[in-house]
Amino acid sequence: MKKTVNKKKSEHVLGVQQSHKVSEDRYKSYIELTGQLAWVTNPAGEVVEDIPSFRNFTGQTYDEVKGTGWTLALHPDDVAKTIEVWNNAVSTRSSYETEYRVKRHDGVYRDLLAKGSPAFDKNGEIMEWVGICIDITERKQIEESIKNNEKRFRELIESLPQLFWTCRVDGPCDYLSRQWLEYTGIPEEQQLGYGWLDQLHPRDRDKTVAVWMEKVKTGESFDIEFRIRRNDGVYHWFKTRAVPMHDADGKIIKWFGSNTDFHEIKKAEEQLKNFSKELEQKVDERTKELQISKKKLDETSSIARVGGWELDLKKNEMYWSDLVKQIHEVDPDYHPTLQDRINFYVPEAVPLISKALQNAINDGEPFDIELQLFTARKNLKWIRIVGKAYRENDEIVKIGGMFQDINERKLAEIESLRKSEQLQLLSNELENIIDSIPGLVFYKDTKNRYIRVNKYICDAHKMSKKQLEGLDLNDLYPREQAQAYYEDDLEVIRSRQSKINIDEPWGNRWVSTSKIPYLNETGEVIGVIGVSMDVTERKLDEEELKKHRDHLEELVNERTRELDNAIIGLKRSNQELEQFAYVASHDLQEPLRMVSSYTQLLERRYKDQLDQDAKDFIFFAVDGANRMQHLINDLLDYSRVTTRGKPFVKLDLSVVLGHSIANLQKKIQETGAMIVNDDLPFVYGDEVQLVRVFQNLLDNAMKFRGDEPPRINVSAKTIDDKIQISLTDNGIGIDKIYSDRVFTIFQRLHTKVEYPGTGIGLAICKRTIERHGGKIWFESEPGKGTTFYFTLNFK
Amino acid sequence: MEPNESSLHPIEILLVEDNPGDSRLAKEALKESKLKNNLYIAEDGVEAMNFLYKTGKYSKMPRPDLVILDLNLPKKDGREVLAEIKNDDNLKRIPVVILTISKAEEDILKTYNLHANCYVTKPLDLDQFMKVVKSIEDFWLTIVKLPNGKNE
Repeated sequence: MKKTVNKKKSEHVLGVQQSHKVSEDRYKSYIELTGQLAWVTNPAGEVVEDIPSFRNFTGQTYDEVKGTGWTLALHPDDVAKTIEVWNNAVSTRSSYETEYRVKRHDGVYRDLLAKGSPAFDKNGEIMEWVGICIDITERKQIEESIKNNEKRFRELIESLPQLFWTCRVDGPCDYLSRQWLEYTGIPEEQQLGYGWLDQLHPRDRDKTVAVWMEKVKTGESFDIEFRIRRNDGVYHWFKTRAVPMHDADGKIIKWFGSNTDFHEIKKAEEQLKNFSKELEQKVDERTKELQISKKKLDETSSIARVGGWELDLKKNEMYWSDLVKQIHEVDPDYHPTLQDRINFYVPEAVPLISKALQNAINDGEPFDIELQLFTARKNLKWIRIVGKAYRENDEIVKIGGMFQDINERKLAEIESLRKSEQLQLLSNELENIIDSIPGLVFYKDTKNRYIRVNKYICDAHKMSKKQLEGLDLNDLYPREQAQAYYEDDLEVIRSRQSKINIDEPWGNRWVSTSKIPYLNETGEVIGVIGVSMDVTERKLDEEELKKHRDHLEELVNERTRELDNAIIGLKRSNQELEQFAYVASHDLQEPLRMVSSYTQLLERRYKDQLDQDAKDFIFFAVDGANRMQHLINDLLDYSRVTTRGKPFVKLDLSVVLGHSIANLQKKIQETGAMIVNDDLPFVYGDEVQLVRVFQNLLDNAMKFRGDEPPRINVSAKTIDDKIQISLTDNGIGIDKIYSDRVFTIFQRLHTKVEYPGTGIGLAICKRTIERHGGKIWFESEPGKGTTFYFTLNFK
Repeated sequence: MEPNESSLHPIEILLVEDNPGDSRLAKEALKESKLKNNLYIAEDGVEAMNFLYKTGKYSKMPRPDLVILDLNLPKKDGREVLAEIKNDDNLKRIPVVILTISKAEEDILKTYNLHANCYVTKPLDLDQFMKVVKSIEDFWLTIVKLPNGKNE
């Protein structure tokens, strides 16, 4: 409706409008050509005229767009904002600009930039709103990605160890990375602009500023090195790279820079510089030396027998200096020809010299060869010939050079070569020998490193000689072992003395090692040479043996302890037994005497009233009691040997024997015994007890006599530290099987009827001799006699 | 009492012996002796000393002319009895015959050190025992001229 009113309202304007329309349409189409949407609304902002470009964009129909229908194409989230902006523009009657998302015909939301302006009539009333919408989706995306990129870029920068910065084209700094701020420990605001220069090493500052200013002018990227002060005051060297950033026109818009800490590199470089300086100095020195020696050489060239020669190709003439002639052993007026070379040189040298000359003549190739020739006097000689082509106008006209007698040197060389070959041979041989040794052979330096090893070591470590030689033993053996080896080395090195057969562990084995000092030609100790033989088996044996020995010792100790205990126990029980025997023999006597006495009293008082039977019975009772008393007395004696013995004194055994014989006088007479004795020595002992021993033995000898009257020989001899006494009789003898039994208390070999006795005599003898620290035994031949032996101490 | 008439009077003998068998045997042996004697028996050392000191029930007992002393006694051992006798001025002149089964040398020596007048080992054989008693008899009658305490 409004539309029609408007049209009718201004007739005359129509023509103008017409032309306007043309230009407007054209304009619109221009705009649409640029991909922008042009639109027009009434003053209230309602669409009253078709906007094909907008419709085409949104895919809406005119009916849909009409009025405020176009807002339906907006992104729901943007509607409110857009209406607000629009209302605001309408109320303020001013142009506006806003962005919103519009759903395109394909359903995709696009970002549009909308610009609108009011068109006023003559009265200043808003006639209509005109505007355009520009699709800014791509631009927005680019902006977004730029933002992202920048963010990512910054993140990247902040994560790198380098310090980053940017500077404006004219120089002042406008950005310093987090790392820079952290490294310097100075707030950003103090460093932006030129403040950062304060963190540079004072010595680097001026240079940096100068380079900086110059490079900024040229606009080329550049590298510069300077020291930056760290937050703890330490300066580190940084390698700084500055790169200009250009805009699309290639204009520099910024400088971007990175500083890399290369303190260590710089330090190493400095060392390298110093080192190369040194090296240069040395080279200079050597060069000087060389020059000097060269000069000397020149001076002594004649001594060195250097001559000159020349072949004039034009004249085809050969020239030899005097020395060359001398070398050839030809006369001074000798005229050499080219042909001479064939005459002088040994056959195998001829092709060499010919070829060298030919090459020089043809191609100007210089030569320096060593050959053998026969002199005119047929002496074989080594010479060196150096030649060079001389040109005139590019033409080779002359060949000439040096000619030197190098016979001495060459012979020496050959000799030394021969020798070194021999040496090599020897060394190979040595190597073979060393390798064949079934033990470790090694050369070591003074720093615990292998210089040379044999195959055995290689095999043990499953490494090659190359791998082992130069290897620190600390890298090969447990630390303690390697250190122990080294201490031995040092001892040998310091003392210059060999160490022989040191038993030491080698891995999990045992070796016996000998080391000798390793000397160089000047007699200086440069290490050790060592040989180690595996002695694990021996060592194990030793250890086994030691263990065994220890075990045995322990056993012996144990047994000794047990024995000691047993002895203590035995002593106690012995004492108790003796005490018992003593007491018992005492108290047993009493009742025994009663039995015997009263039986006898009975017989005495009632003799006349008793018959023979009664008298026999009384006899047996009395006899039994008597024998029992003897037994008791003997037992008492036996027990008293050790308990009631007297201290030992020096005794004359002859006197002791005399006492015994005196005591036995009655029996000796009865049996007609003959007792013969040698001179007996002095001994230490208890007289009463020893008298008893002789007495018992003599008594036995007489008691167990044969058919002949007893003959008893008593003699003595010294054996080691003992006196051995022997009593030999001619009695009935004792069977060897009783050798122990006869010395046991109450053991008898015969019936009481045959030989009366209590069977305690020899037991007392044994006990007595043992108390004296001696032994008693016998040798006997039944029917022929017995010899009793016993030993006593004379000290 | 006259000193020379001692043989006419029975000898007062104190036998210190704890074993009744032995004391009876001594008594029997003395019975057969020609020597007139009165035998008193003390069964231990304490009783013997009481007899000698005439204490308590022994107040009426005579002073013995001879003491036959066994060494091994209950209560007070023979060695102590001997020592007491020999240390008492009134008693020390009484002859003491030591009667024991012990042959131990140390016993003998000790006894002699205590001035026992005689030492006799108790024999097992009755005949020997008789001989011992006989020898005591002889000892009393012929060898030892006993000083009569009463006469001094």
